[in-house]
Amino acid sequence: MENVESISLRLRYEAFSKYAAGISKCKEVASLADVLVKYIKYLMPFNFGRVLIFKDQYYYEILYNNQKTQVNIGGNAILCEFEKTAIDTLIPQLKNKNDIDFNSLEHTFRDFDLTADSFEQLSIVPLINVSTYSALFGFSSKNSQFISQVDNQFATLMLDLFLTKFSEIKLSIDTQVQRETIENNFEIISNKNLEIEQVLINQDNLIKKRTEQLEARNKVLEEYSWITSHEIRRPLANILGLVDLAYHDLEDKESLRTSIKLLKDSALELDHEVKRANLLLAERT
Amino acid sequence: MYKITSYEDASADTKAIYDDSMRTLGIPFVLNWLKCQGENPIILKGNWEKLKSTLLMGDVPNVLKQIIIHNISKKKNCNYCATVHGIFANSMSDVLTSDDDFILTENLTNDIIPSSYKAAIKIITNAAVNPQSFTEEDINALKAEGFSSTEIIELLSLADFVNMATTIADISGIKVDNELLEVA
Repeated sequence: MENVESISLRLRYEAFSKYAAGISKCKEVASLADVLVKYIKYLMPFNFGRVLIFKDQYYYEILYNNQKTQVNIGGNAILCEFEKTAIDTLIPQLKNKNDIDFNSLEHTFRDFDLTADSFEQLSIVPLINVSTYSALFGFSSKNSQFISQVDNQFATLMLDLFLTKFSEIKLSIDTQVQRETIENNFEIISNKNLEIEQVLINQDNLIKKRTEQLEARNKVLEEYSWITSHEIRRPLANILGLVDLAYHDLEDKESLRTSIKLLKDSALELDHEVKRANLLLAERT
Repeated sequence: MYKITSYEDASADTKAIYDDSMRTLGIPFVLNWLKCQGENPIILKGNWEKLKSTLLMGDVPNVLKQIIIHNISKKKNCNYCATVHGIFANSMSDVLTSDDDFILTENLTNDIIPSSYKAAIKIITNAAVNPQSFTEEDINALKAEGFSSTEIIELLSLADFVNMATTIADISGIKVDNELLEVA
C-alpha cells in the first residue's frame, strides 16, 4: 500500500507544481478560481465542491462541478453543521452521502443540478490563515469512488496556497485603497494649506496697507500739528501783540493806523494758514 | 533499415534540431527516434515539432501524457516507445510503470489515483488503438472528469502522435537508447 501511495503522490506532484505556479502568477482574485478549478481533477476526486473563505461580515465562495464554476461574494457565510465542526476543531470531516442532509447541500448548490445520488462521499478540509481568514474546501467523489487521505492532503495544500495568495491580493487591494485615501486626504490638506497661505498673504497685505495709511495719516497730523503750533500760532501771537500795542496807541492815530494795517496783515496770514491746514486735512486724510 | 545519423555526421539543419531536442528534453544525448530521421532534416523538423507541441507543451501534466503513450505503445507492441516513455514517465525511476507489485496502467480501478488520470489513460488508449470506436460518449466522459475542450484536444493529439511515433520506431528498427537504459 505504501508503494501505491508513492505512485499517487508521484502522479500528482507535477500537477501540483503547475497549480502552484499558476496561483503565484495570479494578479487578481478572479483568476484564482479558474486556476483552482482547472487543477482539482489532477489532485483529488473531481465531482462538485465548494471553496469558502470568510471573516467577520465577508465571504468569498467558489462553487464548481464539471458543468460550470460560480463565484459568490457576500456578507454572512452560512455553514452547515459539519462545516462548523471542521472550523471549530480544524479537523477534516469525511461524510458518506447517507450522513448528509441533502436539502442543505441542494440549497448551497441551488444553481447546479445536483441529485441525491450524484456523489459517494464528501470531505471538508478546514484552514485558518493567521489572524485573517478562515477557509473550507469541500469536495465530493463520484458514485462508487472513495476519498483518500492523500486527497485530503492535496486539498489542504491547494487551499493553503489559494488562501495565502487570496490574502496577499486582498491586502494589496486594501493597501492600495488606504494609499489612495491618504493621497486624497493629503491633497485636501495641501489645498487647505494653500487657502490658508493665501488668506495670510491677504491679511499681510491688508496690514501693510493699513500701516501705510496710518503712517500717512500720522504724517498729515504731524504737519497739521506743526501748522497749528507754529504757522497759526505766529500770526495769532502777532495779532495779540498788535492788539495790546493798538490799545496803548489809541491817542496816536498814526501809530494806531500802522497797528491796524499790521493787524490786517497778520489776520490775512492767519486766514491763509487756517485754510492751508483745512486743505491739508481735506486732501490727505 | 533506416540510417542512424549521429550528431557528428549530421548536417547543420539536423544538428540544430538535435540541439533543440537535448535542450528541451533536458538530456545530454539525441534519441535514436530522432537520429533515425536525421538524414532528412525537413521530415525530422516536422516530426520533432509534432512531438514538442503534443508531448512537451500544453496544460495536461507531462507525466500523464507519458503514461498514456507508454500504455498505447505497450498495446501496440512497440518496445522502443513503451520503454522510452515508461522511463520518462517514471522520471528515471520505476515507481509508475515497472513495479512488480503494482503497475499503474494495469490498476486503473484503484481509488488512490484520481479518476481523471484513469479515464484519460483508458479513453485515449482506446482512441489510439481503435479510433473507429471513439464516440461522443468518450468526449462526455472526459468532460465529466473536468477536462476542458482544449485539454481534450491536447489529450486526443497523443493518440495520433503515438501511432506516428510507434510506426517510425517499428519500421526503422531502432533499439532503445543505451543512455536511457543506463539510468532507468
